[in-house]
Amino acid sequence: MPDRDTSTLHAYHGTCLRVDLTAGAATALPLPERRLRQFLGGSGLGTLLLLQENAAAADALSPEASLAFAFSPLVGSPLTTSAKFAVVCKSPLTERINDSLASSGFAIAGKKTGHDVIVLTGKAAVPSIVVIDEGHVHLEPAGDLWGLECSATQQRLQERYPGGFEFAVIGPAGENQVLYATISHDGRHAGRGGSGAVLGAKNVKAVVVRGSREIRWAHPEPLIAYARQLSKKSFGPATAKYRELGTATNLLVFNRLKALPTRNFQQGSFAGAEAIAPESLAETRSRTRAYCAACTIGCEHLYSLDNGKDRVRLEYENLFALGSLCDIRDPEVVLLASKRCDELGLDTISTGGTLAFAMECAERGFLNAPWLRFGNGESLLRAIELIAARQDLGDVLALGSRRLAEHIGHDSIRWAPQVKGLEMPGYEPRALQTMALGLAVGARGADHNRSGAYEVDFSAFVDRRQISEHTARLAAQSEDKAAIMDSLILCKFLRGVFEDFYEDAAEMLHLVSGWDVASTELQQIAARIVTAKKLFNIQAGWSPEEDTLPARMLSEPLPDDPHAQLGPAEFKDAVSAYNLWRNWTEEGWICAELRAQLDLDAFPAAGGP
Amino acid sequence: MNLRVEFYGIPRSRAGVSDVVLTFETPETTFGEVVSEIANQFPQFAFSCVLGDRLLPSFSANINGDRFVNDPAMVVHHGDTILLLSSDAGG
Repeated sequence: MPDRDTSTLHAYHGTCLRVDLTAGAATALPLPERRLRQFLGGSGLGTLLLLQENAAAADALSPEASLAFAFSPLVGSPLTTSAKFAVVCKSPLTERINDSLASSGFAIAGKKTGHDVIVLTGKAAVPSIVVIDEGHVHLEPAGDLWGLECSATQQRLQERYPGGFEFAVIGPAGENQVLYATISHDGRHAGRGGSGAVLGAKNVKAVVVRGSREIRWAHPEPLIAYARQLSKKSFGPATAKYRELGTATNLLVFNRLKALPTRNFQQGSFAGAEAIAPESLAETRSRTRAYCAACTIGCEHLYSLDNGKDRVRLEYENLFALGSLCDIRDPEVVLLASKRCDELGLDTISTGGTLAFAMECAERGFLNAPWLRFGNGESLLRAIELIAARQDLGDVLALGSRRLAEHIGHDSIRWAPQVKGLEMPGYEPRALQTMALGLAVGARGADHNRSGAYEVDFSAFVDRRQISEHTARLAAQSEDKAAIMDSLILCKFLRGVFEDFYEDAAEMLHLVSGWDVASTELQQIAARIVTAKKLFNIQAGWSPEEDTLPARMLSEPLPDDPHAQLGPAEFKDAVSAYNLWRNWTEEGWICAELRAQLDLDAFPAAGGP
Repeated sequence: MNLRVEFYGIPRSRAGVSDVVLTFETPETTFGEVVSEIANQFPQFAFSCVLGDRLLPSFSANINGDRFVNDPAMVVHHGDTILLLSSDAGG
């Protein structure tokens, strides 16, 4: 499509702000309408910018690395759950593409600066705050904030920058370049893959944004009417679980189905599940709900600690990673561990996964850490502090389970709970085999947000403990849907309210941008975004051997459910079928014809046939 | 015949119990009849989770921890355990 003057765009500003931290200079670059329409925003647009920056070639923690805060066409609109942003960079943990999302005011204020994407590159000379106040960018010293935890940093920034500023910050884990450090905003985290370490390596403690540039909507009145209907639906049964109970209520279900990873994926059920389940916590602890900006669901459930004063935001993934995976049965310890991860800026899944792996290695006598044991809450809390500070054993634990396995040897990589170096979320692959494929082929590694294939496993469409002829298609379709949701961006907790997601997505995009986008075009956009991420990975050195699961999961049935078993040959066949379904080669390479078809031929795909 | 129903998530909060044992006069019954019987016993559950003899799309059922079911005509047997849960598994 021809590019038009960006001043006539709806839903977008049509610019990217590129901040060179080394030079202390910023440049606004045009974003062509053709590219906006092809990648939408958020995760998709951030991936495009990284490809354009040739970011795959740079070391993730080097000054040459780029990190993008990508906003979306829906941010600032009245559509519920649309106040979200994506952080896209090369992951220091996986050395592959990483896109993590977070919510709330930073997305709204960031877009109001007048940019659709903010790219940071280079390295500040000293610990710094990047201040973006509408079109004005400057660095301020952050020496007095260095060392502060996330909420304390946020509080100090609120005092220093009153009047409409929003903040994305790192904690001590990011400063110390823990490879799974997060970026925190208002207590929520762009959590996976170590984007906090990338900021830390750039000497950036915080990014501060404010602006007044309003967005024009193509069809404002129908947009408001649509938004009202969507909000109404968001109060219905499809979101009741999130509103009333939160994601933590998954725990007892997964446990009952023997799909709850326990003791470093050595079991699928957990004897301590009842004790740490939210249903039990709610009987003994006070609970409050919280909302992201522009959200009508309010999925956040905060539980009180024993001191009665502090509250902890509790999600299923925290409960699994810091509970069952490490065999921790004391709910106070799980809550405290979650809180410490939040404050230090650590991804809870990678923290729990790395520690559970270390516990198993210590138990087997391969790691000289007699104090680190399954079920020992004190050791869990101690290890979290050591990781964030990178002290003693914490220095190698900070590298994640894959590098820890390389350090330990003894073929321990077989039971390191990771794919591409990213620790696995709380979905036992042998018990949920469509999800198993989704975890293996995910561009950012083992991932439950870029693949929602577990939904298929929780349905009558498939036998969840069998890879079927439909597995590849279902896993790919799940990824495609996530690619659109993460680029538009909408909260995935809304997904149940749409009868035909692509129809609704096309309608929303039309109302904000004015584009007449058909469902089929959106499906092609999804394919483009997923392929672009793969392209990034190929440029970063991807090989087909990466698209698999830990060897233990492909060679041993789940001990407490012998029917839950994955065979290496059938699993490899499923990966090949997935690749072919995507029009990649059987091994997963991308041919020139497909790159041309998806308008990705500006980006070379080194390697492969 | 007896069978056991376990409630999780929203179905549990609406039913107000974690499980119940149902007794039928016949040697086997259908999943739809089980849903109807539970709806009779637990009106709040019926109001939020049931339409006729089916669960609303936001809710799922699983038999014996093995397979998920949504066909009201599916036959269930003495000793079976039916799990009722929210469909969305994400988090």
